[in-house]
Amino acid sequence: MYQRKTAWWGGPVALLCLVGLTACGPQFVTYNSIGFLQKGMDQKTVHDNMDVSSTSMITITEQGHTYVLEYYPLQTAQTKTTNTTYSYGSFGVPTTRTTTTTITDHTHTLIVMYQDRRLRYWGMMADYSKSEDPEILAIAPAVYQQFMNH
Amino acid sequence: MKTLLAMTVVTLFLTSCSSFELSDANKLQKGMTTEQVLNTVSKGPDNVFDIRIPSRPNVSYTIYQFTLKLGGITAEYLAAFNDNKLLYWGHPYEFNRYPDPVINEIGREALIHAKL
Repeated sequence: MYQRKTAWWGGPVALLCLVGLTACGPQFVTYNSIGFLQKGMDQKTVHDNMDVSSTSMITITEQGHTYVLEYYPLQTAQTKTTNTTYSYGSFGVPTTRTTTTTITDHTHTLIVMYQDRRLRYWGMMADYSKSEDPEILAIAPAVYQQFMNH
Repeated sequence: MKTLLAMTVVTLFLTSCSSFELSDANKLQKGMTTEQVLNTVSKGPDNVFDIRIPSRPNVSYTIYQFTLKLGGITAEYLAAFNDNKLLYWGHPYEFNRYPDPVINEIGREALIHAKL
């Protein structure tokens, strides 16, 4: 009977791939990737479709309703800086030039809010504070308090 | 003749370098016509298309799909017109969370037709 043998290096390679994939995976959500969010979505659907997991989950009770807040890092910009260093040989003659480019992702907190496990609203803190939705505007101070204490 | 050629080259150069940015989005006002929007923004839409939504099948909405440039990254940005008047504009997620269900529907339908 044929029995499949597993190479001794299979385990370490698999582990390395897993670590590599995790390191290269997204570290934030983007404006484009949150386009799928729709009012009334259940919490599990939101979790399944988000690029990353929430960094915090907070429950607040306001005006007789309980809301769950989840925080996600949202990429809002990216900047690139380039540094060039020179090495000098004898007589001050430059011998090597090293250029290093650093890309920095700038993120802000995206607050996703559920009511009865259904998606109610999402946005950055300022979006809550100036929301066109009167209910969201009314609970914005409570969200703000939690956000600032976080 | 030389002046015309130089002006054309300069215009092409300026157009190719311009981008739709937040400052452009901030210049938009509800009720603007498509012509006014095009005259206001630094760079026009990448895609223009008409949609209809299930709750109002007789009404046509024109969608301008812009590429918003945000300090090194880009994002989809939509402007929706009804009767040649700007109704709403923003990221698709902003359409989806707006209190008016018509705006939610326009956002959903626009994303189906948008070139992503």
